[in-house]
Amino acid sequence: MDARLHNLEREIERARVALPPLGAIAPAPAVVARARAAVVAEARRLRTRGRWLHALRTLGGVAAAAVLAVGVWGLRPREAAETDALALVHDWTWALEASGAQMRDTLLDGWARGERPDAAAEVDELFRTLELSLELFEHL
Amino acid sequence: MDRSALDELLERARRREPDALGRLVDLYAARVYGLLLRLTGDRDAAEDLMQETFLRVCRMIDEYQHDGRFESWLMRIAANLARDRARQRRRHGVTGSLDEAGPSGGEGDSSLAGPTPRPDEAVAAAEAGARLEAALAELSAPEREILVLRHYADLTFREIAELLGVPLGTALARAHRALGRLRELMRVVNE
Repeated sequence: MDARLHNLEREIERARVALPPLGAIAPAPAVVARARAAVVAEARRLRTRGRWLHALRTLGGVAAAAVLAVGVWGLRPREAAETDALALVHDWTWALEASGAQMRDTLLDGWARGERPDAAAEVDELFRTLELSLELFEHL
Repeated sequence: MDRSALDELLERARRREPDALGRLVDLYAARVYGLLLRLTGDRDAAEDLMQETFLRVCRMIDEYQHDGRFESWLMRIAANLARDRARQRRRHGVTGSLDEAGPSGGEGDSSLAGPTPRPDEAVAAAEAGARLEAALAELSAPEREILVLRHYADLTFREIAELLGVPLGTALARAHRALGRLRELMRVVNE
């Protein structure tokens, strides 16, 4: 602050301290009580909100850690036996479907006119696929 | 309340302990109300603004850096609320704002004339103090504002300048003029 302002402030203060003091003015007790109650309620609300925010942050952290853990667990290498079993089931269902499809075709379509299929061979093929499916089933 | 007790109370208030914040209301309500009543000239407004002041304290207590001047911080919040109210009233065309220049007066417009504390309201109604109150009531709103902020709220002129949004020199010049006018009025009141 420059000298001019400093001097002005000093002059003001000299005049001001010569004034009588201004006293506090008490509001009505009910007014103070109302203000106090409002402040206490607000403080409780802010504290509760603060706790919720803290809990949400904590839960969020735990949830993120859980998702990460599940994700990492999901990426782990599978056991060989588990892979073989799944492949086996896959082959078995295919074989069963193939034999079923063949049986259906034979029953529904029959042999084409004019054709002289080897009936025995057809039936043999049907039973072969069925046996194959049952064989696979035995190993499950 | 001694300094260490206040420090502890403020520490608890910063943790938003309801009892601590309630205790601050008990301790400072009269000081804040006295400022607001003198600035607004309206008892209802002063009561509402007093409550709002302490609610602001509750919400903003984290921002307060304790340097032994908690009361100044509190008074600045109250004064800002009074100024906001005056600005809103001006926007809605209501007379009697803090920023209006000109002599006080107007029947029924207590915001211009300034309040005269009733005996049952004043904590200390010394005769000299009553004369000062009467003279303050005759000042214009801006003159009264700057003197009340310095003489009653004990804000420094630097804090007042910042609050008013004016340079320090302007605040000092305004205070100097206001004091001169006040002394004339007090001579008149004495006669």
